[in-house]
Amino acid sequence: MASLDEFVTAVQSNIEALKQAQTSMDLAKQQAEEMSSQFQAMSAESMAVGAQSLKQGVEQAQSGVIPVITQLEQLITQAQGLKSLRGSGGAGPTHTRPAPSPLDAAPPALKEPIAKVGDQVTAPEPGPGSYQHELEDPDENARGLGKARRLGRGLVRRSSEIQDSVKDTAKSAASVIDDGFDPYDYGKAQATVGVSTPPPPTISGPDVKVTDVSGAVVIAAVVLIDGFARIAGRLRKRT
Amino acid sequence: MTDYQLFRQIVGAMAVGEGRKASDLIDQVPDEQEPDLHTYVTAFFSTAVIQRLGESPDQSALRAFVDEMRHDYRNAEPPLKPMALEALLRAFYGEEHLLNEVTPQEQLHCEFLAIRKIVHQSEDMSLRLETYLADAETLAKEWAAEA
Repeated sequence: MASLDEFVTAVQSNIEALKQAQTSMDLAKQQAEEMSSQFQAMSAESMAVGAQSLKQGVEQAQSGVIPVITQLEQLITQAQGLKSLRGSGGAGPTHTRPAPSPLDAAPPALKEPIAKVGDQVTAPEPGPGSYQHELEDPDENARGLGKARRLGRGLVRRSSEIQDSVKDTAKSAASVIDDGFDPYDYGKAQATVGVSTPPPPTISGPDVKVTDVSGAVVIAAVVLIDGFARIAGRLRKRT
Repeated sequence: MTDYQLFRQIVGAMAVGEGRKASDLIDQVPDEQEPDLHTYVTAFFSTAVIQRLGESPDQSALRAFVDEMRHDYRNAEPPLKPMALEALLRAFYGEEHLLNEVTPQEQLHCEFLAIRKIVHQSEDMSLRLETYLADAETLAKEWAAEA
Protein backbone atom coordinates (compact mmCIF):
# COMPACT_ATOMS: atom_id res chain seq x y z
CA MET A 1 0.00 0.00 0.00
CA ALA A 2 1.22 3.41 -0.97
CA SER A 3 2.12 5.75 1.86
CA LEU A 4 2.55 9.49 2.13
CA ASP A 5 6.29 8.96 2.52
CA GLU A 6 6.43 7.03 -0.72
CA PHE A 7 4.40 9.75 -2.42
CA VAL A 8 6.84 12.40 -1.18
CA THR A 9 9.82 10.36 -2.37
CA ALA A 10 8.27 9.90 -5.80
CA VAL A 11 7.59 13.60 -6.15
CA GLN A 12 11.10 14.43 -4.98
CA SER A 13 12.57 12.25 -7.73
CA ASN A 14 10.25 14.00 -10.24
CA ILE A 15 11.69 17.31 -9.13
CA GLU A 16 15.20 15.97 -9.44
CA ALA A 17 14.57 14.74 -12.99
CA LEU A 18 13.09 18.09 -13.99
CA LYS A 19 16.09 19.95 -12.57
CA GLN A 20 18.38 17.66 -14.53
CA ALA A 21 16.37 18.26 -17.70
CA GLN A 22 16.62 21.97 -17.06
CA THR A 23 20.39 21.74 -16.71
CA SER A 24 20.74 19.51 -19.78
CA MET A 25 19.02 22.20 -21.81
CA ASP A 26 22.10 24.32 -21.15
CA LEU A 27 23.87 22.23 -23.77
CA ALA A 28 21.34 23.11 -26.44
CA LYS A 29 21.49 26.72 -25.39
CA GLN A 30 25.27 26.70 -25.65
CA GLN A 31 25.15 25.17 -29.15
CA ALA A 32 22.70 27.79 -30.35
CA GLU A 33 24.97 30.47 -28.94
CA GLU A 34 28.00 29.02 -30.78
CA MET A 35 26.09 28.78 -34.06
CA SER A 36 25.05 32.36 -33.73
CA SER A 37 28.63 33.62 -33.34
CA GLN A 38 29.80 31.42 -36.27
CA PHE A 39 27.13 32.91 -38.55
CA GLN A 40 28.09 36.32 -37.24
CA ALA A 41 31.69 35.67 -38.28
CA MET A 42 30.54 34.66 -41.78
CA SER A 43 28.43 37.83 -41.95
CA ALA A 44 25.36 35.62 -42.39
CA GLU A 45 23.27 38.10 -40.47
CA SER A 46 19.83 36.46 -40.78
CA MET A 47 21.19 33.04 -39.85
CA ALA A 48 22.84 34.57 -36.80
CA VAL A 49 19.55 36.16 -35.76
CA GLY A 50 17.79 32.83 -36.31
CA ALA A 51 20.27 31.02 -34.09
CA GLN A 52 19.83 33.65 -31.40
CA SER A 53 16.11 33.07 -31.41
CA LEU A 54 16.75 29.32 -31.09
CA LYS A 55 18.76 30.08 -27.99
CA GLN A 56 15.97 32.22 -26.61
CA GLY A 57 13.53 29.41 -27.30
CA VAL A 58 15.58 27.03 -25.21
CA GLU A 59 15.74 29.58 -22.40
CA GLN A 60 11.99 29.91 -22.51
CA ALA A 61 11.53 26.15 -22.30
CA GLN A 62 13.99 26.07 -19.43
CA SER A 63 12.11 28.65 -17.44
CA GLY A 64 8.82 26.89 -18.30
CA VAL A 65 9.97 24.02 -16.12
CA ILE A 66 10.24 26.26 -13.06
CA PRO A 67 6.49 26.48 -12.27
CA VAL A 68 6.21 22.71 -12.64
CA ILE A 69 8.97 22.25 -10.09
CA THR A 70 7.30 24.81 -7.82
CA GLN A 71 4.02 22.89 -8.06
CA LEU A 72 5.69 19.61 -7.21
CA GLU A 73 7.41 21.18 -4.20
CA GLN A 74 4.07 22.44 -2.99
CA LEU A 75 2.67 18.91 -3.30
CA ILE A 76 5.36 17.75 -0.93
CA THR A 77 4.38 20.43 1.61
CA GLN A 78 0.72 19.38 1.18
CA ALA A 79 1.57 15.73 1.74
CA GLN A 80 3.51 16.59 4.89
CA GLY A 81 0.50 18.51 6.17
CA LEU A 82 -1.65 15.38 5.69
CA LYS A 83 0.90 13.38 7.65
CA SER A 84 0.44 15.62 10.68
CA LEU A 85 -3.39 15.29 10.42
CA ARG A 86 -3.13 11.51 10.43
CA GLY A 87 -1.61 11.71 13.90
CA SER A 88 -4.71 13.52 15.24
CA GLY A 89 -7.13 10.66 14.50
CA GLY A 90 -8.01 11.43 10.89
CA ALA A 91 -11.70 12.05 11.60
CA GLY A 92 -13.62 14.97 10.14
CA PRO A 93 -13.03 16.81 6.95
CA THR A 94 -9.41 17.33 6.11
CA HIS A 95 -9.26 20.87 4.92
CA THR A 96 -5.97 21.67 3.41
CA ARG A 97 -5.24 25.00 1.90
CA PRO A 98 -5.15 24.61 -1.86
CA ALA A 99 -1.75 24.97 -3.34
CA PRO A 100 -1.08 28.46 -4.60
CA SER A 101 -1.37 28.73 -8.33
CA PRO A 102 1.88 27.97 -10.12
CA LEU A 103 0.90 30.69 -12.55
CA ASP A 104 2.60 33.25 -10.30
CA ALA A 105 5.93 31.65 -11.00
CA ALA A 106 5.25 31.15 -14.70
CA PRO A 107 7.26 33.01 -17.32
CA PRO A 108 5.50 35.96 -19.01
CA ALA A 109 4.80 33.91 -22.14
CA LEU A 110 2.64 31.48 -20.19
CA LYS A 111 0.76 34.27 -18.43
CA GLU A 112 -0.42 35.72 -21.74
CA PRO A 113 -4.14 35.21 -22.19
CA ILE A 114 -5.14 33.02 -25.11
CA ALA A 115 -7.22 35.83 -26.61
CA LYS A 116 -7.54 39.51 -25.83
CA VAL A 117 -10.19 42.09 -26.57
CA GLY A 118 -9.54 43.47 -30.03
CA ASP A 119 -7.97 40.27 -31.32
CA GLN A 120 -9.19 39.13 -34.70
CA VAL A 121 -11.89 36.56 -34.29
CA THR A 122 -12.30 33.68 -36.71
CA ALA A 123 -15.50 31.72 -36.49
CA PRO A 124 -14.99 27.97 -36.25
CA GLU A 125 -16.01 26.02 -39.33
CA PRO A 126 -19.55 24.74 -38.91
CA GLY A 127 -19.15 21.01 -38.79
CA PRO A 128 -21.16 18.02 -37.71
CA GLY A 129 -20.57 19.02 -34.10
CA SER A 130 -21.79 22.58 -34.47
CA TYR A 131 -24.74 23.91 -32.55
CA GLN A 132 -26.83 24.43 -35.69
CA HIS A 133 -26.70 20.77 -36.42
CA GLU A 134 -27.71 19.90 -32.89
CA LEU A 135 -30.76 22.14 -33.09
CA GLU A 136 -32.16 20.29 -36.07
CA ASP A 137 -34.15 17.17 -35.59
CA PRO A 138 -32.17 14.57 -37.55
CA ASP A 139 -35.31 12.64 -38.42
CA GLU A 140 -37.01 15.79 -39.64
CA ASN A 141 -33.96 16.26 -41.82
CA ALA A 142 -34.28 12.75 -43.19
CA ARG A 143 -37.90 13.42 -44.06
CA GLY A 144 -36.78 16.51 -45.98
CA LEU A 145 -39.13 18.88 -44.18
CA GLY A 146 -36.82 21.88 -44.51
CA LYS A 147 -36.31 21.32 -48.23
CA ALA A 148 -40.02 20.83 -48.84
CA ARG A 149 -40.68 24.03 -46.92
CA ARG A 150 -38.26 25.99 -49.05
CA LEU A 151 -39.17 24.55 -52.46
CA GLY A 152 -42.90 24.09 -52.07
CA ARG A 153 -43.68 27.59 -50.88
CA GLY A 154 -43.83 28.94 -54.45
CA LEU A 155 -46.56 26.48 -55.42
CA VAL A 156 -49.22 27.80 -53.04
CA ARG A 157 -49.41 31.33 -54.32
CA ARG A 158 -52.55 30.51 -56.30
CA SER A 159 -54.36 28.45 -53.70
CA SER A 160 -57.05 31.10 -53.41
CA GLU A 161 -57.64 31.23 -57.16
CA ILE A 162 -59.54 27.99 -57.34
CA GLN A 163 -61.78 28.47 -54.40
CA ASP A 164 -64.83 27.09 -56.20
CA SER A 165 -63.34 24.06 -57.85
CA VAL A 166 -61.02 22.50 -55.26
CA LYS A 167 -63.57 19.95 -54.14
CA ASP A 168 -64.62 19.04 -57.68
CA THR A 169 -61.02 18.68 -58.82
CA ALA A 170 -60.14 16.66 -55.73
CA LYS A 171 -63.05 14.30 -56.31
CA SER A 172 -62.07 13.85 -59.92
CA ALA A 173 -58.55 12.96 -58.76
CA ALA A 174 -60.05 10.56 -56.21
CA SER A 175 -61.85 8.64 -58.94
CA VAL A 176 -58.66 8.46 -61.01
CA ILE A 177 -56.81 7.11 -57.98
CA ASP A 178 -59.45 4.40 -57.60
CA ASP A 179 -59.75 3.39 -61.22
CA GLY A 180 -56.87 4.77 -63.24
CA PHE A 181 -53.77 3.94 -61.21
CA ASP A 182 -51.84 0.91 -62.38
CA PRO A 183 -48.13 1.19 -61.56
CA TYR A 184 -47.33 -2.43 -62.36
CA ASP A 185 -45.25 -3.63 -65.29
CA TYR A 186 -43.41 -0.38 -65.70
CA GLY A 187 -40.33 -1.03 -67.81
CA LYS A 188 -40.98 -4.78 -67.86
CA ALA A 189 -41.19 -6.79 -71.04
CA GLN A 190 -43.24 -9.59 -69.51
CA ALA A 191 -46.49 -9.38 -67.63
CA THR A 192 -46.30 -10.39 -63.98
CA VAL A 193 -48.56 -13.24 -62.93
CA GLY A 194 -51.90 -12.03 -61.66
CA VAL A 195 -51.56 -8.57 -63.13
CA SER A 196 -53.46 -7.51 -66.19
CA THR A 197 -51.35 -6.67 -69.21
CA PRO A 198 -51.78 -3.08 -70.31
CA PRO A 199 -53.64 -2.71 -73.60
CA PRO A 200 -51.45 -1.94 -76.60
CA PRO A 201 -51.08 1.76 -77.30
CA THR A 202 -53.72 3.11 -79.63
CA ILE A 203 -53.49 6.03 -81.99
CA SER A 204 -56.08 8.56 -80.99
CA GLY A 205 -57.87 10.87 -83.40
CA PRO A 206 -60.70 10.44 -85.95
CA ASP A 207 -60.89 6.95 -87.38
CA VAL A 208 -59.91 6.56 -91.01
CA LYS A 209 -62.06 4.02 -92.88
CA VAL A 210 -61.46 2.26 -96.17
CA THR A 211 -64.83 3.38 -97.49
CA ASP A 212 -63.83 7.00 -96.90
CA VAL A 213 -60.75 6.52 -99.04
CA SER A 214 -62.64 4.93 -101.95
CA GLY A 215 -65.27 7.65 -101.72
CA ALA A 216 -62.62 10.31 -102.09
CA VAL A 217 -61.18 8.50 -105.13
CA VAL A 218 -64.62 8.38 -106.80
CA ILE A 219 -65.12 12.13 -106.24
CA ALA A 220 -61.68 12.90 -107.67
CA ALA A 221 -62.44 10.75 -110.74
CA VAL A 222 -65.77 12.50 -111.32
CA VAL A 223 -64.08 15.91 -111.16
CA LEU A 224 -61.41 14.82 -113.61
CA ILE A 225 -63.90 13.28 -116.09
CA ASP A 226 -66.07 16.38 -115.87
CA GLY A 227 -63.02 18.55 -116.57
CA PHE A 228 -62.00 16.52 -119.59
CA ALA A 229 -65.56 16.60 -120.92
CA ARG A 230 -65.64 20.42 -120.71
CA ILE A 231 -62.27 20.77 -122.43
CA ALA A 232 -63.41 18.32 -125.14
CA GLY A 233 -66.67 20.29 -125.57
CA ARG A 234 -64.80 23.56 -126.06
CA LEU A 235 -62.46 22.00 -128.59
CA ARG A 236 -65.46 20.65 -130.52
CA LYS A 237 -67.09 24.12 -130.65
CA ARG A 238 -63.99 25.66 -132.20
CA THR A 239 -63.88 23.17 -135.03
CA MET B 1 -61.18 27.31 -37.98
CA THR B 2 -59.41 25.24 -40.59
CA ASP B 3 -60.09 21.54 -40.17
CA TYR B 4 -56.63 20.09 -40.73
CA GLN B 5 -57.74 16.82 -39.21
CA LEU B 6 -60.17 16.41 -42.09
CA PHE B 7 -57.50 17.41 -44.62
CA ARG B 8 -55.16 14.79 -43.19
CA GLN B 9 -57.83 12.13 -43.55
CA ILE B 10 -58.52 13.15 -47.13
CA VAL B 11 -54.89 13.14 -48.25
CA GLY B 12 -54.20 10.01 -46.21
CA ALA B 13 -57.02 8.17 -47.98
CA MET B 14 -55.84 9.41 -51.37
CA ALA B 15 -52.28 8.35 -50.59
CA VAL B 16 -53.28 4.77 -49.85
CA GLY B 17 -55.65 4.51 -52.80
CA GLU B 18 -59.00 4.86 -51.04
CA GLY B 19 -60.48 7.31 -53.50
CA ARG B 20 -64.11 6.68 -52.60
CA LYS B 21 -63.48 7.28 -48.93
CA ALA B 22 -61.56 10.44 -49.82
CA SER B 23 -64.44 11.59 -51.99
CA ASP B 24 -66.91 11.27 -49.12
CA LEU B 25 -64.58 13.22 -46.85
CA ILE B 26 -64.10 15.93 -49.47
CA ASP B 27 -67.87 16.55 -49.37
CA GLN B 28 -67.50 17.50 -45.72
CA VAL B 29 -65.03 20.34 -46.43
CA PRO B 30 -66.71 23.72 -45.90
CA ASP B 31 -66.60 25.82 -49.07
CA GLU B 32 -64.57 28.57 -47.46
CA GLN B 33 -61.81 26.10 -46.60
CA GLU B 34 -61.18 25.02 -50.17
CA PRO B 35 -58.07 27.21 -50.60
CA ASP B 36 -56.65 25.79 -47.36
CA LEU B 37 -57.20 22.27 -48.64
CA HIS B 38 -55.28 23.17 -51.77
CA THR B 39 -52.44 24.53 -49.65
CA TYR B 40 -52.41 21.39 -47.53
CA VAL B 41 -52.33 19.08 -50.56
CA THR B 42 -49.46 21.11 -52.00
CA ALA B 43 -47.58 20.85 -48.70
CA PHE B 44 -47.91 17.08 -48.65
CA PHE B 45 -47.00 16.91 -52.33
CA SER B 46 -43.83 18.90 -51.53
CA THR B 47 -42.64 16.46 -48.87
CA ALA B 48 -43.48 13.53 -51.13
CA VAL B 49 -41.54 14.95 -54.08
CA ILE B 50 -38.52 15.60 -51.86
CA GLN B 51 -38.71 12.00 -50.67
CA ARG B 52 -38.85 10.71 -54.19
CA LEU B 53 -36.56 13.03 -56.14
CA GLY B 54 -34.40 14.71 -53.53
CA GLU B 55 -33.35 18.33 -53.36
CA SER B 56 -32.00 18.89 -56.87
CA PRO B 57 -32.74 16.14 -59.38
CA ASP B 58 -31.39 16.57 -62.90
CA GLN B 59 -33.63 16.91 -65.92
CA SER B 60 -33.40 13.24 -66.80
CA ALA B 61 -34.58 12.19 -63.34
CA LEU B 62 -37.58 14.50 -63.66
CA ARG B 63 -38.32 13.21 -67.14
CA ALA B 64 -38.08 9.62 -65.93
CA PHE B 65 -40.56 10.33 -63.15
CA VAL B 66 -43.00 11.94 -65.60
CA ASP B 67 -42.65 8.92 -67.89
CA GLU B 68 -43.45 6.59 -65.02
CA MET B 69 -46.49 8.66 -64.15
CA ARG B 70 -47.67 8.44 -67.76
CA HIS B 71 -47.36 4.70 -67.56
CA ASP B 72 -49.04 4.38 -64.17
CA TYR B 73 -52.00 6.54 -65.18
CA ARG B 74 -52.26 5.42 -68.80
CA ASN B 75 -55.88 4.32 -68.21
CA ALA B 76 -56.86 7.41 -66.24
CA GLU B 77 -59.98 9.35 -67.10
CA PRO B 78 -59.59 12.32 -67.34
CA PRO B 79 -56.09 11.53 -68.64
CA LEU B 80 -52.93 12.73 -66.94
CA LYS B 81 -51.42 15.83 -68.52
CA PRO B 82 -47.70 15.10 -68.68
CA MET B 83 -46.82 18.63 -69.76
CA ALA B 84 -48.63 20.10 -66.77
CA LEU B 85 -46.94 17.61 -64.45
CA GLU B 86 -43.50 18.40 -65.81
CA ALA B 87 -44.10 22.15 -65.58
CA LEU B 88 -45.32 21.73 -61.99
CA LEU B 89 -42.25 19.72 -60.99
CA ARG B 90 -39.87 22.15 -62.64
CA ALA B 91 -41.66 25.05 -60.98
CA PHE B 92 -41.18 23.25 -57.67
CA TYR B 93 -37.45 22.95 -58.37
CA GLY B 94 -36.97 26.64 -59.03
CA GLU B 95 -38.40 27.46 -62.47
CA GLU B 96 -41.29 29.26 -60.87
CA HIS B 97 -42.47 30.98 -64.05
CA LEU B 98 -43.53 27.57 -65.38
CA LEU B 99 -46.31 27.51 -62.84
CA ASN B 100 -48.13 29.94 -65.11
CA GLU B 101 -48.38 27.14 -67.69
CA VAL B 102 -50.46 25.09 -65.27
CA THR B 103 -53.98 25.91 -64.19
CA PRO B 104 -54.59 25.64 -60.44
CA GLN B 105 -56.99 22.79 -61.18
CA GLU B 106 -54.35 20.89 -63.17
CA GLN B 107 -51.89 21.53 -60.37
CA LEU B 108 -54.17 20.03 -57.73
CA HIS B 109 -55.05 17.08 -59.96
CA CYS B 110 -51.37 16.30 -60.69
CA GLU B 111 -50.45 16.67 -57.03
CA PHE B 112 -53.00 14.08 -55.90
CA LEU B 113 -51.92 11.62 -58.58
CA ALA B 114 -48.23 12.05 -57.74
CA ILE B 115 -48.97 11.68 -54.01
CA ARG B 116 -50.68 8.35 -54.64
CA LYS B 117 -47.81 7.04 -56.72
CA ILE B 118 -44.99 8.25 -54.46
CA VAL B 119 -46.52 6.96 -51.21
CA HIS B 120 -47.35 3.66 -52.87
CA GLN B 121 -43.71 3.23 -53.86
CA SER B 122 -42.04 4.64 -50.71
CA GLU B 123 -41.71 2.26 -47.82
CA ASP B 124 -40.89 5.03 -45.39
CA MET B 125 -43.86 7.16 -46.38
CA SER B 126 -46.20 4.19 -46.24
CA LEU B 127 -45.01 3.09 -42.82
CA ARG B 128 -44.97 6.55 -41.29
CA LEU B 129 -47.80 8.17 -43.20
CA GLU B 130 -49.14 9.91 -40.09
CA THR B 131 -45.77 11.60 -39.50
CA TYR B 132 -45.69 12.91 -43.06
CA LEU B 133 -49.31 14.04 -42.82
CA ALA B 134 -48.34 15.97 -39.68
CA ASP B 135 -45.33 17.50 -41.47
CA ALA B 136 -47.66 18.73 -44.20
CA GLU B 137 -49.88 20.37 -41.60
CA THR B 138 -46.84 22.19 -40.19
CA LEU B 139 -45.93 23.51 -43.63
CA ALA B 140 -49.49 24.38 -44.62
CA LYS B 141 -50.01 26.41 -41.45
CA GLU B 142 -46.77 28.29 -42.03
CA TRP B 143 -47.66 29.06 -45.63
CA ALA B 144 -51.21 30.05 -44.77
CA ALA B 145 -49.83 32.46 -42.15
CA GLU B 146 -47.52 34.03 -44.75
CA ALA B 147 -50.26 34.52 -47.33
